[in-house]
Amino acid sequence: MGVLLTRGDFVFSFKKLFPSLTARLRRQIRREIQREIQQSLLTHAAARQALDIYEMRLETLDTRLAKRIMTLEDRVTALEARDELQLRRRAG
Amino acid sequence: MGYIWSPLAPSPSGIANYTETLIASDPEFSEHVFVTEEASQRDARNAIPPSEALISEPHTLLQLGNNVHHGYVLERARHGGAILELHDLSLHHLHAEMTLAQQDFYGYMNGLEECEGDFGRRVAFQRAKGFYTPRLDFYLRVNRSVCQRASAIIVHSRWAKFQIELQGVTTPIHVIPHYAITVEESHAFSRTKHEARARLGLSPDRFMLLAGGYVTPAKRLDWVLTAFEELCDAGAAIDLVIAGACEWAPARELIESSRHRENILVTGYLSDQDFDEYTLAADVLPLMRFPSAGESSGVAARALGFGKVIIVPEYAAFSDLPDEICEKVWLDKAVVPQLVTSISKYLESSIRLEQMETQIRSYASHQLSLQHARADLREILNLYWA
Repeated sequence: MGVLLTRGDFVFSFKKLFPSLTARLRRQIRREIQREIQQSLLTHAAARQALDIYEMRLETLDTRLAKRIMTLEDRVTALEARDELQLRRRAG
Repeated sequence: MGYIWSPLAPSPSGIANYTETLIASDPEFSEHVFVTEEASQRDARNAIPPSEALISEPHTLLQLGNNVHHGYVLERARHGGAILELHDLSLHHLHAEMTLAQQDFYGYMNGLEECEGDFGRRVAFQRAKGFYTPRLDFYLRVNRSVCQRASAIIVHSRWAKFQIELQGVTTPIHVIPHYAITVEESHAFSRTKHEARARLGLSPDRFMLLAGGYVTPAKRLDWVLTAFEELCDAGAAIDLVIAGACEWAPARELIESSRHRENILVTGYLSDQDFDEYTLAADVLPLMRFPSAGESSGVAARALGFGKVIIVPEYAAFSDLPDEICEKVWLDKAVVPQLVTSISKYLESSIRLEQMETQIRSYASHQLSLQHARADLREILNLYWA
């Protein structure tokens, strides 16, 4: 007559029968998880840094453009003022 | 008579200090009434608490920043019809504190949607699901509706004005550069660099770098530290003073692990008076900032008023400063070598440092004086309150 083993029984028996193998497997799994964590952290840090550099380039470009537009606006204002003055002189 | 909504001392907000110096201490503004939330800020002042009756008052000036001390000012700004002095371009942090932090998700979402449209609504939903990066606070500024409803806007830089215009705001915008107080107008006991160093027990001969203000990731202390270490390695007699609270753990670790730790002084939080003394004692102030919420730097303004050389990034509000009165670094190139070059210029030549200090003092006393800023503000108030 056969005996029905549950999963718990198996794990229990496995641990009991192969304690050193269980410990080795556990160590290996822990190392794997550690490596994964390390890898994820490095990837995150690298991605963060890359994003930072990208953003800084973009913002610098934005600042350069804004300054250029403001300079052009100033020139337009100056030219308009000059035109107005000339018109007034002619009219006067 | 008008109503000026602003936190006042002893509020730890930098804007409280701004309002005290610019408005509260000038007798010509004495007819105006301050509106402050905290009873302790109303002592011995012409100040009253905010109330429903004041909301419809047309002669109102709002001093608005991006921290929790300005919650009641933001509430008032939402009703519109006031002159809005915007000290921080992004109000996202304050908006989140007033809504999300109070478990009011819909308030948060509505605010974002009102300013940023459908994209803002989607961002709010994503945030509710846990997908959010604080960097978005800098891009989704949640300021459009309050800017549009104001009768006029005052900002401290042309860059900030340009950014608001880009958002399609049609309200008139005025620029009043952040005033730069002189040593004589400041809280400092000392009047010269040598006096300040003697008072603080700092070496009179060594070159002193000062990184001022509360240390946050955006202040990029790592760049300053690396540049400082490179200069020390090259044999320079140089000290680095970090004048402000440094509670951010990675920055503390960097400082503690520095190979020139003995030449670094971390002061911790300083009173206004002590901060002024340290600023006066410094030679060069590297003021790095990325990202920026568009705020004007009180530390930079103070340093310029004292005639100090500052190194700033060519970015955001700093880009308004003329190249003749500060050193600039480009963020799209390696920053540390640029910092080293800029500091070395003054480290190697005390004559150049003195010439630059004179040039800065002259510019600040003409263009950034307290009187200048007060006159500009009075002109704007007269224009809209007449």
